[in-house]
Amino acid sequence: MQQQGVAGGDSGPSPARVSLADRYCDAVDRANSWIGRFFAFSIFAVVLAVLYEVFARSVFGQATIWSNETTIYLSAVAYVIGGGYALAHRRHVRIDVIFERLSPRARAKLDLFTFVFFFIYVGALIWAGSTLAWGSFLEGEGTGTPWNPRIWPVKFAIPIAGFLLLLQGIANLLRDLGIARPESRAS
Amino acid sequence: MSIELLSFLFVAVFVVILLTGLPLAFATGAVAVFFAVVLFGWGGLTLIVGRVFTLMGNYVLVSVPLFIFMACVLERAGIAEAIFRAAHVWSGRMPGGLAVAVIISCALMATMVGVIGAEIVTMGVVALPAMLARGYKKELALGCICAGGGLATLIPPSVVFIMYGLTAGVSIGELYMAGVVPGLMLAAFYITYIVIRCHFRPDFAPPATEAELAITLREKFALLKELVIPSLVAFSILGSLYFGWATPTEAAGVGVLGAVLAMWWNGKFAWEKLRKAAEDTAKVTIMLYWLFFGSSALIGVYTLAGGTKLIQDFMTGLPVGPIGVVIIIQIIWIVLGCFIDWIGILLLTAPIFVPVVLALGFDPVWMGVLFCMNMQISYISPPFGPAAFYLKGVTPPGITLGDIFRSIWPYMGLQVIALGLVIAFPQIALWLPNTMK
Repeated sequence: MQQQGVAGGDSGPSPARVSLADRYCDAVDRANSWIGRFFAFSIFAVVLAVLYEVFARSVFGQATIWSNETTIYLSAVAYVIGGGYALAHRRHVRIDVIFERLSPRARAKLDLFTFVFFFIYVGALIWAGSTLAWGSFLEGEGTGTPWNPRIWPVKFAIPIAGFLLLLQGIANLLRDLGIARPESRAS
Repeated sequence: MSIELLSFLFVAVFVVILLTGLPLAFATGAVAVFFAVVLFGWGGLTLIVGRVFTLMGNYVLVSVPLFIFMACVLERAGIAEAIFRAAHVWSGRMPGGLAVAVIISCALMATMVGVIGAEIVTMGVVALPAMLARGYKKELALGCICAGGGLATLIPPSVVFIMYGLTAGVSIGELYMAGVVPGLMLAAFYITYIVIRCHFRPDFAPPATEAELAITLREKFALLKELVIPSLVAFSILGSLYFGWATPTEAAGVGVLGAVLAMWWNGKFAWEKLRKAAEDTAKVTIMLYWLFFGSSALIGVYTLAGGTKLIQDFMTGLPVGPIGVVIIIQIIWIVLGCFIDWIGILLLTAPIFVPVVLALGFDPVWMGVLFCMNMQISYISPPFGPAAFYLKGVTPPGITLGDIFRSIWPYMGLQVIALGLVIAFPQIALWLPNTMK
């Protein structure tokens, strides 16, 4: 199945033929980029919450009960869920000294090899993460502070991020193996 | 399974996966998951996810995206160009005046920027063509930009210090203050070297033309106008942390506001720029967060298995004396720095080395400064020094990566000397934070 894909993908960027793999990869790229850019905006809310806290403390002489936790969990969720976005843009730091010197065939083998380990990690995040989040949801667990917001939406960010990473990891693998065409990315 | 064998397996599996090109963030996570399941069964996965969730709830970690965002906004506000324009008319009469201006600009930018990259790129775009047009030798022009760019992570607000503080459990404010004097000292070393070198070899850096030197004092002061808001930002961040008025996160939030105001003051405000800055911030921060998750999980599993203690006992038992251990750690960092990013080295080694250093009776703040100074070397060292690659991205065609790496040796020598000085005289770093208490 993969061999056929390689033959189909090697013909370079021919817009006439868009395979299923191409469509999958483009869709995942678009989804992750959209999610990443959406959550990138959270920084504005974080800045406003921090500034309000500083303002409230220095002018009203009283700290808010919500500002700290809002900033913490807003940015945590944003940058955890954005994992797939950074992967789509291949921004995660890697050591490619050896990789760069190999033949395309050897690279493809290594890509498959590393994908196994990638899967072990994101699989664990999805599985153990959803167990953790589901338990928290059933329990109605709070953070235990005076404000005491429900914490399960933050915990669900872990398995969701794992799932988005997995989708993106598969897309990148399909492209690296030549099964799907290389990405065309503006931003 | 004995802990020695286990340690060997840990390192072996990790190195193999890492060399095959899996990103560090996932390689650390995968090894953590693998050994957690082998050692503690499926329940071990709770430990991994628990580590991730604990980090997500960290308040200080929020200052990382805020400081990065601040730098991204300042970059788009044209602050670096303004600083360089102002600095070079003031240092115009010195030997190697433009190169001196680069170091001064980098040191000033470093008071607002906490990661390397932005300053090097801006100096490469603004200062490098100016120096080459004046007839500066390549090695002088390239070297000063690479070396100066690293100062961003030593002079506050440095993101490296935030990450170190989180890993080692040390106050970020104290680390910031401890970085000030060593950072300025390093900048002074660079400037002294440039001036002496250009004094004895005038062909290295032809002097400015009379027309350029004929700028009136009034015009010189006018150039400082664009720097008013950025300087206020820098001073308010440092000041509020020194006096303990604000947390690093709050200081960073106020810094972002200042950066946006500076952008507006300089007539460069645009929503589109802020959106781009937010996206760039997200990309860098996501990378840092995920690295933190993976390595925290890895270190967590390894510590629970007893491995961290094994290394610590081994290191404290070495027959080289306390200072010998510190020097060994420096050498390990220098070697690792040739191959791995600062963040990987920090997250993987600091949880092991900092307790060792504490057990030997040293100050972890001092160790943080040593780490940061050590990483100055890694930024410019071949074959992967990131500073060189940032600069290569914007140099004119005639300049190769080889040219850049050949230019850095004198600066690397100065960095090693400065590192040695701070090891020999910890007060260089610790004097300022000690006045806080």
